[in-house]
Amino acid sequence: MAIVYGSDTADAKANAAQVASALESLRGPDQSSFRAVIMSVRDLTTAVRHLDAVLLLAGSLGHAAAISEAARRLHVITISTDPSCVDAKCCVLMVRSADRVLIVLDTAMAHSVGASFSSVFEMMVERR
Amino acid sequence: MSRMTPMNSRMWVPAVVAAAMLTWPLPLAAQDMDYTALEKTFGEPVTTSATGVPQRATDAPVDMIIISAEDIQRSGAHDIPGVLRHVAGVDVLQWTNDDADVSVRGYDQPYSPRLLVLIDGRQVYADYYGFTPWSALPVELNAIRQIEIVKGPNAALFGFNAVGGVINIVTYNPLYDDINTGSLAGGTQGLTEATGVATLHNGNMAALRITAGGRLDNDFSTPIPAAIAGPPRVNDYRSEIDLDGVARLSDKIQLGLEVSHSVAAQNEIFPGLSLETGTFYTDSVKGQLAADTSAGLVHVMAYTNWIEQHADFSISGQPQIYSLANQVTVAQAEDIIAIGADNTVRLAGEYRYNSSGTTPITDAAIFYDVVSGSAAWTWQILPTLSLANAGRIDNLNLGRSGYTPPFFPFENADWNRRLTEFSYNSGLVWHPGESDTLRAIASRGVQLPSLVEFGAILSENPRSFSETGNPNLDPTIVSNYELGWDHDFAGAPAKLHASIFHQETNDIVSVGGDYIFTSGGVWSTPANIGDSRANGFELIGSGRLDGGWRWGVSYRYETVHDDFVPFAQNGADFVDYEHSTPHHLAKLNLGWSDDRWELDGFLDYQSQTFGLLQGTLGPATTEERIPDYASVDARAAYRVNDNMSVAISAQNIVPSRQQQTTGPAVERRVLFTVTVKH
Repeated sequence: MAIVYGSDTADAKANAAQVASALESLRGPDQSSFRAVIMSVRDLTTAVRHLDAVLLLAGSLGHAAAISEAARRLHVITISTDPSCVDAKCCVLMVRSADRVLIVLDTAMAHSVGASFSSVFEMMVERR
Repeated sequence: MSRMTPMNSRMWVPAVVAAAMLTWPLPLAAQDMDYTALEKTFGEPVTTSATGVPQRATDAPVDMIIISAEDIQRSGAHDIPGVLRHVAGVDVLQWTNDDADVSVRGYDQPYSPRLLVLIDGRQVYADYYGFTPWSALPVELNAIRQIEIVKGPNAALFGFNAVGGVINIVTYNPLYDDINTGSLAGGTQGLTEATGVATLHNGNMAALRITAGGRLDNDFSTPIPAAIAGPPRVNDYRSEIDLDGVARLSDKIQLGLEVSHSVAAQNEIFPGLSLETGTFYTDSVKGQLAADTSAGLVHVMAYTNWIEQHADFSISGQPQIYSLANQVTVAQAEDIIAIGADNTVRLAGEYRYNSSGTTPITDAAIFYDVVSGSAAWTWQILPTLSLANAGRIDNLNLGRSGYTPPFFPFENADWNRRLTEFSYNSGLVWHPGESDTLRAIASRGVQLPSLVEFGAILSENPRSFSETGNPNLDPTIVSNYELGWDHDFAGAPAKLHASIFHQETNDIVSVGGDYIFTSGGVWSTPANIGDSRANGFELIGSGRLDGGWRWGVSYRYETVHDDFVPFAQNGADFVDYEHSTPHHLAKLNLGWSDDRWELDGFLDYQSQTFGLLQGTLGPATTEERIPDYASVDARAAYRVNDNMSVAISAQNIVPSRQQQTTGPAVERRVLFTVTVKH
């Protein structure tokens, strides 16, 4: 999973590293875990490696067109917690966990990157 | 730039779980969805028991409470009614040590017929008598993932008898939940109990869960009121085994097969309001196929339930034995389709065949088949506003075959009836803000007369009266209208639920409502005796406090007004909801836990009611006052290590004996349990 930060500042990179560390410490179903790599938007646009998912950090949405293009090229889903990512059409999933969890699925974006979800999941999220 | 704190990092958890769903495909159909993964993703329980469509609990267009496995464990109960007695708005009549009747929002009675109970979508409500034999259910508490309680009718999804409420017991799915646990328990009333759950996996392609349990205990030793006296009490016992297998035929198709067997014997109160010994034998076979297709989520399920009941009781001091054998076969198919961004549609069809032989006079049978069609449509009008409408039509063909006694008031052709009934559920759900959910609900359900009420009991007694069912009974119709509000106090954390409801019940059936005079004697038959309506409100609060504390409180106020035919008024004919439903029902629980200890206490209060007893002269039944009471339960558990815990729990701690029904007083029960998990 790629953790993508927006600007090439040291703070942004350090923040991404901290998020990656936190994510790797989490355990999913059957004690599964993620391997997270951090990269800038520029790295993402030139990446050729296989990625399962891209987590977009704050500040990266200023490059929405480039992210969207990279996602289509890499056939990777993009996830953001910024609600504006849906309107910017650069995230397949928008996930907000404050108070009531909100997950928005951009079905057109999902189709364009070749991602498919189980029907159960699609019925439980907000579809756009 | 803000620094990423541990708290901030946890905000990414849903994003990680959402991403994980790409790697670990979700289960494919409604009853087979991965409840654990979905609950982690959305931060709340998920369900299919509202409309059949997978939903978050806060999106469900019904009034629903979901009891978690943790809640079950902390209840300290050793059976399902013991868990339910602490649930807001749920009524439990504890008749004997192992016999309890459960209802939602009052209207409880012996062999409570208004609550439809299912295990993983398979009906375990016994149609032949219209009740749930809780001790004979082939399930153990530590195999249950959650218990979903829908308040009010939900017949548009589940069909006949989902009128007062629905309880769907959801067990762990062996494909996703690796449950291996065993427990031994001993306690007062000579209780000895052993249960075990084991899950076997063949990679991630197939899994089998084996659940088994056995229990021996004695009944309460409190005096039996003379009016309900029957044969001498026997020792209670139950044993059950359930094998639940799931195979993944492909990434998008799952096949399930489940078989179960149970035996239970208990002292119990039956609808005639006398103590009897009931012995139950149940078997079931269920197969299901779930597929995630381009045409939607397709789910096909078929099952057959067999149940035999042998009832030993007495009439006028004369011992009687009734033996009922009921078989129900159900085949269901459904397709759930997401249409565009805002609409989800569920289309379903069902066929049901139900039959029972007559008793004590044999050589005749009552049967019916039902063909049903249903549709549900959920419309996401706005991101914060949804409307769900569901409708169902059941077409029933009733019949009778076999022997008719001399001077019988009916002939078999009288049972050749066709009933067409319509049920609906409609719910508007609005999330005006992050912390609030508002619901407006309307629903209509149909309670079918049981096979006994249609004629499965057939006895001749020329010296007093003979018994038969009545082929001309009308189904009971229950309509419910409700407004609800949920609020999350985000900073506390605490939750509040408030609801106000109005419920109308028409064409209520009494087991002994009519007499037919023939030249051969008098026949007692069930009859429709009138209507009833209820108004009430519920307040439910729960939350957690610093230091490991948790709390819950609920209060229900309800008034019921019966409008019965003259001879059945004021409890004179086996049914009286107006005086048997408590006006006030309050429940309180307080708990505390740390790494090792769990302590929980429960206080349940019920205001004065009136129960029924058999009449000696004049009316068939009479009312007896049951004073208000408060019962106290508690549990203390200690985790010895990661694999072992011990617990002591007690019900009805003070006083040690308490009158809660017109049956024998309940006794204090204490239970010591050792649980091992792997």
